[in-house]
Amino acid sequence: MNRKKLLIFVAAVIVIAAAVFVCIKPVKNYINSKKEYTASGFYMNTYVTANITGAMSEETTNIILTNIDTLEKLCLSKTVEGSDVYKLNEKNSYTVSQPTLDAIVTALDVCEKSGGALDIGIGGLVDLWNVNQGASRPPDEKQISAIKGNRYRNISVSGSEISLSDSSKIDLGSVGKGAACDSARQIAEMSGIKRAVVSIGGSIMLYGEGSFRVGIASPEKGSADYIAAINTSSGFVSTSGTYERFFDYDGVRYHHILNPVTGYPVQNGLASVTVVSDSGILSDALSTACFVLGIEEGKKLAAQYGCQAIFVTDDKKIYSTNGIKNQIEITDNSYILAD
Amino acid sequence: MNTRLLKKADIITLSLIVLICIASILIMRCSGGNLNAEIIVDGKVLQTVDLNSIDAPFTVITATSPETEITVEKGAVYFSRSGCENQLCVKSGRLTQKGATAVCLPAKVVITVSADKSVDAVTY
Repeated sequence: MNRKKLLIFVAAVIVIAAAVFVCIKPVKNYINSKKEYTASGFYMNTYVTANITGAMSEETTNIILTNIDTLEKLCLSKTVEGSDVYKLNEKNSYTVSQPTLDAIVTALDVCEKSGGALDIGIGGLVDLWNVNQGASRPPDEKQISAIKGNRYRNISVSGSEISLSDSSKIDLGSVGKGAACDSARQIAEMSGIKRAVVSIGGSIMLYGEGSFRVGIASPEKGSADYIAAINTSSGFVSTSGTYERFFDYDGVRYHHILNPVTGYPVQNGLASVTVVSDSGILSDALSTACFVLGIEEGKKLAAQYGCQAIFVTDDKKIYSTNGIKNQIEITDNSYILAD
Repeated sequence: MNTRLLKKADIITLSLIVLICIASILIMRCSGGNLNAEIIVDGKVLQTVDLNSIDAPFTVITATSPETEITVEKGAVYFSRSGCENQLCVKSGRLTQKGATAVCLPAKVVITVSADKSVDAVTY
């Protein structure tokens, strides 16, 4: 081999090696992307996204989204005519399907253990405030007084039959998204996929090996930004926040998290509560219950269920249960870990 | 006759090629890359834009009920106007970070900046 040929050969090897080095990642990403599928839509009156990796990712994603839609329309919705909850509220007694029964039984347990901080019987109060449907001013005080108070005790379960002993209305808004996350998890397990991240209006199902990183929404900007990240494994994460649904009237913010006893939105200095659990419905229910209870009592309730809770206050402090403290990473330096 | 296969000049040439390759790789890795924003209406992608390549700001008006106006500018995308009652989408402000999402539920319009996997999801 003469000098010129050797020179060309060596130069070619260097260039090809560099090209391969540059291209390996894109090629790998391309191959992986073939197995990854993302879809989104509007279900349960909120924005839903599903990101699935593995064989059958597209089919699994579509099954999960369809299932969420079905769960809403046939079981959990208070407003869709024909759903279990709609019929139950209309007839005061109704034999419900298994998903509805499971959701109500679990929710009633949290209602009881939280001392009524969570109350799925306050559908009437939720309707009166109408925060979710665009109310612009608080209801009349007399109307609130007439309807406030714990109502979950008026709900009884006998087999699959649910009964309401007075004019209480069931509202599963505080547990429905979590219950749908549980269903998504069951589908993920059956499908044999590798990894799934499903977000139902900010209630998140994480499935698969390895770690996940979940941002906690900014109270100022909602889902548009996050203030901290939780490093966690497969499981469920839900948040209840004052910024999610609200209206301002006469300089006062009225949000959607109602204290069943006072009948008014909770005002306790909290901006949000995030709960991490191995159950979707528990993470959803406890995020509301812990919000209503406040930091100290909320921590105790989370401990009863073996869940972790993160409390973000209006004055930008972050409190948490001990089991998750080391997994929280502040990403917005205007917030501090308070304990 | 010089029996050495590579002369000093050849080594310099090869060194230059190596340096150019390394510099190219570094430039490719360190450059900002794409910051893709997607405008999604009722689950379907209406438009995808690379926010880093925007020279002049422009707006996208969605033919939804209520109607929303989305402003796209260099490095940012946001709901600039919406016919919805609660205005939560407009209050979400400018989206500049990868993974950020703003939603107008009444109009079923979503704007999202492509995730870089710095987080897998945001809980809210």
